[in-house]
Amino acid sequence: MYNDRAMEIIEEYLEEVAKHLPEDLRDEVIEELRTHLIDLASEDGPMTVESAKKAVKIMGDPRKLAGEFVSIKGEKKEKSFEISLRVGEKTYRFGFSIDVDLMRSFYNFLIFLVVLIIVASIIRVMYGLLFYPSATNPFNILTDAIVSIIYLVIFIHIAMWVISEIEKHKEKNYKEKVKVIIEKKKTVVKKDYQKDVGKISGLFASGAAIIIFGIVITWFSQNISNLSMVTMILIASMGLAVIYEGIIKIIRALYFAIENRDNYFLETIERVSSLFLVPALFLINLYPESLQYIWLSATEITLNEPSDIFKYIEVYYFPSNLHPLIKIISIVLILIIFTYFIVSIIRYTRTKPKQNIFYNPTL
Amino acid sequence: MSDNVDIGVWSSELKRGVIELCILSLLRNNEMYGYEIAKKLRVLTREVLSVEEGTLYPLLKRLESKGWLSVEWKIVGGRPRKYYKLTQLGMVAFERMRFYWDILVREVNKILEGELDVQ
Repeated sequence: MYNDRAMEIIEEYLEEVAKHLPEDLRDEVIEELRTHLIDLASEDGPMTVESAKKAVKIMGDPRKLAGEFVSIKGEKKEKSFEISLRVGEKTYRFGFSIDVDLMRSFYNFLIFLVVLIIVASIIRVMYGLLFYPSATNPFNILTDAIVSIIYLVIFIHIAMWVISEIEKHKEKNYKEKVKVIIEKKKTVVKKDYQKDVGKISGLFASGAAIIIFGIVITWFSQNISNLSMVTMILIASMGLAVIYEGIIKIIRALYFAIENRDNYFLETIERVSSLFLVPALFLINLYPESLQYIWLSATEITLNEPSDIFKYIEVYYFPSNLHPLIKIISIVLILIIFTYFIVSIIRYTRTKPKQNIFYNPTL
Repeated sequence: MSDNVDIGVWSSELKRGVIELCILSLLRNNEMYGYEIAKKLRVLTREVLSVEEGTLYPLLKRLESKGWLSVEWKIVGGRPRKYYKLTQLGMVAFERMRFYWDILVREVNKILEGELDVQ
């Protein structure tokens, strides 16, 4: 008969490992680790709370342990996507792999968008045939849909690949950091001074960004009057994104100063500041003819006082031949923002750290 | 002064490959489960090659995914245990690793002994 509390300790540890494991490995790995932990905790007699704590401590950081299994899957996946190019004696390898963690999201996201395109195309055909039968060619709409799906697959794959590479790089740095800590077998929890410096500089940078953006917007609103609604909304969205990110950065820095650790939730919501740009990008996509750009028109600028600069600033509409390009760029940006948002949320739900009283990597 | 000389990273990197060879060797004639492998390595090498618990199972999984080990679940003492066994492919890999290991030890020893002669 096991000690209930000791067993709970092992189960909590296993739950933490399971959270970070790929689904297809989860049951088998957890079952095997459970037996191992019980064996380890019962080595010197019946399992106790102390021996269970010792066993999970020996096993190490649950996230790191799960990461080792994920990397095995990653190795296999990478090989299947790898392209080798042999030039003379050297072989160059290009991996376009998507992180296994993101693979399921990649398919789900893709299926969702493909279904959306198909539904939209069907509606387009039906609407056209009902109201403009002579001007509607279902074949053209079908071609549009197929081309859109092809672009979508290529684009989302590239976006996911870039995110995977960034995450891989981050994970590598994290692993090296943990490895160094374990190697040195530190016995005292030390403050991460580098992180401190990063947070302080982030605090000042955020404050400065908010102030500078506020001043710029105020100057613009007082001195430039002929801005279109779309341009104004775009500028306002950029302002909101900067202010939002700045405020979250400041809250994170304050949280870090008080708690001496980062807040994972704040870190995640800070990443999605670009969502503020989505409404403006939608408007730009719908009304590219209303988008303006700001240009400093004078060849020789003479300033007697700072506000003189507004005499040389002029606002122009983009020429009509650039409208298709503006439409493409805006839709690509929307897709990037949405992809990044979904990835951030998935990362948050899958890798959210749980307070673990049994294991501390710095011990 | 000599207290600052840390060979921890070097020794753990060196051990990593050797542990893989030793695990294959242990599983040549016997099937074993993870805990048994870890314990055996620890005892047989008098703690010199004690494999970290957190790295053992990913290592076994890696060998399994290469097709070098086969697995079988058995209920022993009321607990499910995953038993590992060397496959034909694993045996070939082991023989090659063993051959390479012999050459490596011999050649490295030559250098080390040469250094000793110079001293």
